[in-house]
Amino acid sequence: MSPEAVAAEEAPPVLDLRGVGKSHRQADGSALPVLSGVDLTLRGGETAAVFGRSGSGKSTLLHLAAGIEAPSGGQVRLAGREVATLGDRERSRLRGRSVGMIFQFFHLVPYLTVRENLLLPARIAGISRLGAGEGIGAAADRLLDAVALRDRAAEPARHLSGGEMQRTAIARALLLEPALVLADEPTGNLDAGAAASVADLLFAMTERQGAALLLATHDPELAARCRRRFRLTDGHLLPADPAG
Amino acid sequence: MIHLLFRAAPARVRAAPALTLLPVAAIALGVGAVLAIQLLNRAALDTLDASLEAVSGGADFRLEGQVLEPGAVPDEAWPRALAVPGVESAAPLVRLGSLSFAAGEGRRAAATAYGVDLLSTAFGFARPSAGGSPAAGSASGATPFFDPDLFFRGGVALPAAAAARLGVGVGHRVLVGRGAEVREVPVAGLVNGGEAAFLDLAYAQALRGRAGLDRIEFRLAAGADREAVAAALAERFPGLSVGEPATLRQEGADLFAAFRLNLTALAAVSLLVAAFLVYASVRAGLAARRREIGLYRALGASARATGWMLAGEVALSALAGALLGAPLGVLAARAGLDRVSRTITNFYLLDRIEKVAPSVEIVGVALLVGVLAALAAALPEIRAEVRQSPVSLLAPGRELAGRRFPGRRAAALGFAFVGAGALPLLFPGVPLFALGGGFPAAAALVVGAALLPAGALSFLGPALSRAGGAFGSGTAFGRGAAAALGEPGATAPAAAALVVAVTMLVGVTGLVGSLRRTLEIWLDETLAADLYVSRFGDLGRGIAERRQLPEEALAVTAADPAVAGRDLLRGLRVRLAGRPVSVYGIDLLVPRSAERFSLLEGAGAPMAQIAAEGVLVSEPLARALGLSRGSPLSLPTPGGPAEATVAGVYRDYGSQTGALFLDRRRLDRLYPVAAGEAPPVHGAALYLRPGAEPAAVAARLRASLAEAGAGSVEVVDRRALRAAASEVFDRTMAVTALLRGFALFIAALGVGLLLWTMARERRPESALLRALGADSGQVAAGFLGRGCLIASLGLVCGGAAGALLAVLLVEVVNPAWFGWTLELSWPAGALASQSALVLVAGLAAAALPARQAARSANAAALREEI
Repeated sequence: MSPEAVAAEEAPPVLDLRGVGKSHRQADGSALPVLSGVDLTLRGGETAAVFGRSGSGKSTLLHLAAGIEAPSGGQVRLAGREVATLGDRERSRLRGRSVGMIFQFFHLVPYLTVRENLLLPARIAGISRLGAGEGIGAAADRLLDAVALRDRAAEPARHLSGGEMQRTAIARALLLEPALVLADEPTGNLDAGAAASVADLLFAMTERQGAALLLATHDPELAARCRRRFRLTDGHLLPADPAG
Repeated sequence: MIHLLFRAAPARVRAAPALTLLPVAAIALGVGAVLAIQLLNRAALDTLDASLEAVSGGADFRLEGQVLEPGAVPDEAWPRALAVPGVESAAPLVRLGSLSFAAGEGRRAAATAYGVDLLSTAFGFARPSAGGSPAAGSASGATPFFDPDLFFRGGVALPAAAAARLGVGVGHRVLVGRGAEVREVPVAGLVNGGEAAFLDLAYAQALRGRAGLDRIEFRLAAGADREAVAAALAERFPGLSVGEPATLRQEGADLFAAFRLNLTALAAVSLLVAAFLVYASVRAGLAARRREIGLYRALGASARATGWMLAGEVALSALAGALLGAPLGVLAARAGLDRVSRTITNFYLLDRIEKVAPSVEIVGVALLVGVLAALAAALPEIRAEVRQSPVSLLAPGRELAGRRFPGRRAAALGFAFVGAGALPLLFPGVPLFALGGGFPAAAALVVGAALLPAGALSFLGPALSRAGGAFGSGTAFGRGAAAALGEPGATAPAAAALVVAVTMLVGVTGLVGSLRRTLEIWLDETLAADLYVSRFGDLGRGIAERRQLPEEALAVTAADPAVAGRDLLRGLRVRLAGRPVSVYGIDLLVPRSAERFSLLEGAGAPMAQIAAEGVLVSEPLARALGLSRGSPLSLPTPGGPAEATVAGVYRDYGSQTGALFLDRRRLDRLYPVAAGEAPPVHGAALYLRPGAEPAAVAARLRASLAEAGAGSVEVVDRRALRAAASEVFDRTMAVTALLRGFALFIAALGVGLLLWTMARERRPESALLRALGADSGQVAAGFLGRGCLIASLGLVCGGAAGALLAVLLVEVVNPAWFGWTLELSWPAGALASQSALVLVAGLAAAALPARQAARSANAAALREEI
């Protein structure tokens, strides 16, 4: 084990799931279990992939990790805080500061420009400077450079291609230097070329910021780039061989 | 989030201008309607205040004639009043009414003018205005700027603002116009504040051409017993009335409270319709932005912060709409001023309303009401939306599904409200149900009506959808209509806006139709004479505005051989139990005299008996004072109270404050004129000999009148008088037509807006239909089908609720507030044309969205996702 890995093992967990379960209520009133007894701990700098077939609960796991969905059982700790004990305002604040989210369908606001979309988390959190004292505008420009979208910064998001939209979404997720990045099928809606470049960007940037990355994917190649890999089967999160 | 609100708002407007601007337009119209009515109501109250204002600088009491005629207070009352113990000062006053002033270069101004006694009246004299250069008096400004010599020689003290407009100062000369008469007078002073001009009392009396005062204003000495002084004044002047300004104002305001409330209710309906439109647009807008809201939540915005941001957006657009509506309201008020003024003058015997004066207070309240109405409409939807989980909001395709529509709950509430609205009709004897004169019931009915589409869609939607599917599924139009039935969450709010408008439209049309029919019956029953003679323009006017006939007119009509009998009318106003009442004297003993009244009580009573000691009172007066046949009535006269007996109650739709008739000779005895003068005659009804042709006699009379120098007199036959009365009625009701039009227009906007947002939101769906082989006409027809269904739903629910509202207005509200018994009548033609108009409005509102849906359903829309 490398010294960095040892140090990471000793760092407090960014995300800690203990015995987490989730059921959805069906039309006839019965409960449909989606996740059951999930344990997962992620520390800063770690990368983890969850794969499984459609409907296996990958997205639900990410939603629970982000605190935008409540578990039916178990405990979700995010940045050291038990999510279930927080009210909506506190939980939202914690999510805004600690989690960067990337969606399969990008979810950009179509009428805002690329730069305005990138700045959304800061506007919502009311943050004008980052921890190191860097102005939020300068940070946005730096990220636009990093995702090679500086020259399209003033264009409305609806004019972007799929790859450009996802690059914008990655930059947005990393703007506030979150401790945890959650990516739900980040390349699922892109062609092979765009998918590869987006994946490179995602791993490089999260590594540079020292954030933990948890991604849900169907793509074995993408999953293989993560240090830890899990398969969701019948609601259980099991360690998986990279070859599948 | 506030930062985001202001950052994102301009981009949102650019991205969806119509979606943003249509609710803005609706609020603008709603606020415009409310503001216009409030300004008119305020102007009416200001006119009342002007007639009651204390010119002497604050009065504890006013002494005025029981007969509301110029000069009703004798000159000698002033020194006698000053001698009453406890009276500190007494200021006599002659009110000349509105005078126009003119100076060089076409500069004009108007002011209400009073004749006053300089020594007993308190003034704040002003320094000369910027435009005027003083030619006399002190120019230092340290002392009041006034020249007593000029004042006593007929000079006028002008309001400083009017002098500035005219560009004159003390010593300058201005032209003063009173009716057709114009004189040149010097400016004697400039008065600070207010808009009244003052002349010397004696000069004002000379200008009016008669002696006597209009009122005396009193101030009490320190420590004087108010009630004892009032009693002493009443005892000393039995033919005059002693009143306190505040009481007089309240009585006056109460008189036309119903009129003001009616207008306010109509304006409120416009605002209610606008609020539904805001509701519909917010609901549609939220559906379209569902994933955007989910994104904000996922990125760390709390439900509360997101809600505040969305509410802020609504408040901003409502404020923009309200600001646009403010000038619209002022313009509408100015446009409607003459009509409202005429109505108030005729119905309530008040002075003419001269102007509309927008104040910060009224405009501010209208703006606030507009913004609050929009927020009240939007907040429940916003609250429900932001409280959903971000996962649910972010799920693809959810914007089309929408949230679950609480149709059955809305329906239950709707039926409950409609039921509450119908209670006064179902249980007419229970006072609790007719509380507030039926207005609360009418409001409940309108609110309940708005919820009826939800009920119709919840209970009948599936069956109608099946039936529609069986008959119309073969066409895109039919499929569109069936789809609208299956989506109550989208259809019901748009239909609700239309239902409110149609309910009001049908209800008020039914009321106006009933009023008109009743008026026609009344006119047919009471226009007994062959020809009517009056001064030009006086036909259809109340006694407050009628001028007397010249002697030549009386001589010409008496001399015509075809005239078998004349019924001369003299009218005056008195204050009876605190209300101005018209008192008419006619020749009760002329043949066919009984035919002139449509009697509710007292039919068959001998006219001779009525002429001797009876009076006939109008229905509104009888209701207001609790009079019926046989009731004693004490008439205020200059000689003290005169006792009379109510011989009958007649229908009257000409005045709400009340009127009464008695024999003219008796009227002349009770209300004598100055020695040597003939009692005035304000109109004459002529009965022709058998075989005489009214048109030929009228033509001959007109020629004779012109020859005799009485060209300002008109002669009309029964048909023309009937037409004139109908015209006055239509003019009076025109303001309701305007407000009904407003409401319908806003509702049509609502339907259009909803379909437009639907078309925009469903571009991918429309594009898919095109990709599957539908042509653009079929896509457009689908939206027209939706529009037609919404219009039909609005028409059916609104028609039913409107019919109920009309019955409520006719049977409960009008008798309670106006004292009128009406014949319920349904103007079939008007209702049919309005139904067609509603359908056309619905289809027209759907046309643009349909075109947009057809045109934007292209390949790009198939790829649309955020």
